[in-house]
Amino acid sequence: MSDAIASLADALRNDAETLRVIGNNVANMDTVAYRREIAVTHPTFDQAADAARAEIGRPLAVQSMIDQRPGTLKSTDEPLHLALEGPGFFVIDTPNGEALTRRGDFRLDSDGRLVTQAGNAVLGSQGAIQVAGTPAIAPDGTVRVGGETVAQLRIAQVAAETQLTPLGGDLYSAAQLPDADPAARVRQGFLETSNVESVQEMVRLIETMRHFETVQRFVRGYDDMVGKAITELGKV
Amino acid sequence: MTDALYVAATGMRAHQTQVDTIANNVANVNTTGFRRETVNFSSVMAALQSGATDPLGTSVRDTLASRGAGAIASLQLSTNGGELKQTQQPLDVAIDGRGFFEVTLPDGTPAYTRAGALSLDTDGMLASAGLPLSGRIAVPADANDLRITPDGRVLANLPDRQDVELGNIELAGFANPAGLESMGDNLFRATASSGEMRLGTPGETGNGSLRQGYLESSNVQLVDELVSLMVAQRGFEMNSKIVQAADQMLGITNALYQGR
Repeated sequence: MSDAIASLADALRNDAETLRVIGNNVANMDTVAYRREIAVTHPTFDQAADAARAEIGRPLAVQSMIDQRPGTLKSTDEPLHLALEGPGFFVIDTPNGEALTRRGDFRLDSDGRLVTQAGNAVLGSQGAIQVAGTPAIAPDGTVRVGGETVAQLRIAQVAAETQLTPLGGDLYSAAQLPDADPAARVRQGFLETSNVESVQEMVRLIETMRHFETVQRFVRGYDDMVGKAITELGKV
Repeated sequence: MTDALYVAATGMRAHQTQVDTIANNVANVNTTGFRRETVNFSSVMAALQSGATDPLGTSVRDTLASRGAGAIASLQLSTNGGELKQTQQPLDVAIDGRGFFEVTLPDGTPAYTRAGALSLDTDGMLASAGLPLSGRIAVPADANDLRITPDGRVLANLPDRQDVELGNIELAGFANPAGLESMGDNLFRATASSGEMRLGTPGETGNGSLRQGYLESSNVQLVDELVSLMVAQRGFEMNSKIVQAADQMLGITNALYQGR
């Protein structure tokens, strides 16, 4: 296929991928502490691989990044709902090692341990947190049951420039697990909302759809041009 | 394009679940001892096969480890107690704490309830909604001045004797009450996730104590539910816009070929 058509086809695929990103953000508008994806378009082709990639179908030139700005806090009055004020992450024990999350809608499992909705233990400084009864959790992460301190929540701080890898289920992994952050504040009875803004997503949707239409016009125009070249140029 | 279509469809379904749940909560705003359910949204990631290679042996998708694939909704039972309201009825008993009354279903299996509007069943046993409490406390027909103490003792005056102890009401506690499964009719069933059931004397084991003459109202807050309803409805609407847009994209793609 000629070069112009190939790059226009890329543009169409990129728009489709951008629509997937917008769709995912909108679907997760009400997911606790969800972080929106941002579609970033950039040329990725290095010269050497160009020809080969044209043969096998190019990879998407859209990458998604995670917008790490915090959401707002909303009151739920549930004693096991926690939100973090300011930066920081809860540390979760998963079958694949420790992971980070800001999602604080915790529950108890059948053994009375504090776990995430998916059932992975929330880690304190002494490992999993055993709670018998309704806990009171202080802003500094101290977990008390009936006035007695039973555990200290582990709150991890990640440097701003670290790009976290999403693991699904609102968990993230960082290359190296950071130390506890003494400055983090835990708010009991609150949840962090997602940082998706509907206006932003709608504007992005319009932009993407119009761009898609524009590219379609270009493809048609190019198609017309090639058609003319075939039928007209041969005439004497 | 089709990715966006299905991703937005998951969002629509999750919001639909939320609207359904709100409807159920609002319908039960006056149900004694009703526990509202909340919807938890979780994001879903489709993990791309790491190390997937193309025919030339180079990694095609080395830049993306996983992509967002929408949202799913799951239900959680709220463990907040409702307000206790005074009724002055001797057989109205509220639980001030986390425990549950244990009742026996007609098939002999246990079920759990917070509805403390007790009555006597046909055998003269203390019962909740017609199901006898598992402690099987018989109240004689000639008993009067029935008293239920905070620690669960049931006392009454009989014609010949004062302060006769008729039995003890015990409360059932769970490590994770939110894991109980709702059976309808205000009844709950123990599940693997609710943990082992522990029966105990009220006021001693952290299950809470009893309050005679009170009923626990439903813990549904109408204002909260209505705000959630608006959010859920708009969320549903926005997701449907994405479905429309994806459909439009497919239409435009089909129009690329002019067939001349």
